[in-house]
Amino acid sequence: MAIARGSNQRLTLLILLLISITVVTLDYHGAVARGIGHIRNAAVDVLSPFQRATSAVLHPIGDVFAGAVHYGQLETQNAQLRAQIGTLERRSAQQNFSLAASKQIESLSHLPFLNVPTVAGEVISPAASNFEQTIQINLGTSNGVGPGMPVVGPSGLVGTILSSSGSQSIVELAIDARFGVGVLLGPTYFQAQGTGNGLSLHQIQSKSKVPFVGQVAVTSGQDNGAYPPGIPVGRVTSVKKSATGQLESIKVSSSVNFTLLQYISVMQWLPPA
Amino acid sequence: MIEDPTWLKAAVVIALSLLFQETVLTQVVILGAHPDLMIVLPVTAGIVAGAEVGSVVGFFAGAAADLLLSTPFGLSAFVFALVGYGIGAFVNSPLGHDLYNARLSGSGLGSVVGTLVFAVVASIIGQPGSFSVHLLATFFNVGIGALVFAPVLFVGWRWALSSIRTLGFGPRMPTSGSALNRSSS
Repeated sequence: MAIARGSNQRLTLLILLLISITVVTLDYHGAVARGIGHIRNAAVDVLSPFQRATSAVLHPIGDVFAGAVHYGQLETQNAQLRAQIGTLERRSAQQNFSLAASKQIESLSHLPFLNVPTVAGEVISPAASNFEQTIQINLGTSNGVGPGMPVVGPSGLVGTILSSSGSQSIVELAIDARFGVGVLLGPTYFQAQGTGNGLSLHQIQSKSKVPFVGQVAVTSGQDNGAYPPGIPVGRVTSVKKSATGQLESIKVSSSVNFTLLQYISVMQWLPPA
Repeated sequence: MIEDPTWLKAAVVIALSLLFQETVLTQVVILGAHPDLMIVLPVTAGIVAGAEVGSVVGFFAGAAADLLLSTPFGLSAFVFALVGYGIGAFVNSPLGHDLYNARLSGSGLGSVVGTLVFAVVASIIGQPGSFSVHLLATFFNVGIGALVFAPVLFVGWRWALSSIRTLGFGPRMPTSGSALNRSSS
């Protein structure tokens, strides 16, 4: 009897595993994946009001804890920011001078980043899983937001819309291991790939110009137009060269602090067909 | 084997856990990771009610979790079913017979192992970034979360699965009386 019971248990497990594998396989196929996407969006919509309510309550509490834990770090950041403000004020005076010229250049080159309409929104929830770098935002298809649209924060590229329900969307962050974007460091093109806590640059050619630490990487606009050109992605944090002086690896830290990110803008940008 | 009210009660436990996970626990980020109540569901169900119930609970808990993830649908269901079965089978083996007495730490350990299994399976099917330093923070959060919430889930499963006649430690549940005697007679 115990043997029969053991067989039944194994049979139950086998059936469940086969169903799971079948569903995973079907999820990679277009029509079924779309159906599953609709079910997922409906589930997200059902949970959305609860998440918003909880987020509204927990955000201030979390800010208090974050402030207490990172007090020293915040003081350092404040000092750095004050120094940066001074630098920026000096630059601002210079930039006012060249503004008129840059406007003319902009109208000539039609830089899409500056002309794309955006929708402002708020982060509702961090990633639902520890195995993905995503956030949920309070903008959905009813706000004109859809999959593939770039998301930016005050300091640069946040990520891209992965899926949208009526009232909210899931954003794949730029540091997610599945995320990729073409970037420019000066005039040189690189392919940036999320690493979980930053980005690493690939397609490093022998004739690539050696970037410097602190250099800002911006979207190139060359990935079939997936992103408008000129969005800041991050700053170079390390450059490794081989013994022969050839570039081996370049690490970039995102310009966005995802831990403290609360407000975002979705660029209503769709790649040209 | 499973009566209708039991299904309903089990669904309530899973739904409430999902709601708590998505609204509260995802906001509790420590070292870049958060506790995962959903993986604790099959672990505790496996300890309380055995391998078969653990696998069924794991399958549905995983499917519910999959609704809100961007990983392939069915991945969590697959892993959680395996974990629930594995924990239940281990508890019923001579080697794991003492686990029931150490069920709290067993839940923590089981949840961490379950998370590792998820990372391995996700990696096998081509999900990038499953293995990184971040995984250690995930283990920490999942383990601590399991220690905190497993006692609550044990109570939940005793309520939900009280009518199940099965192997495992159902008989030690206060509400199930001498279920082991029933099943062995």
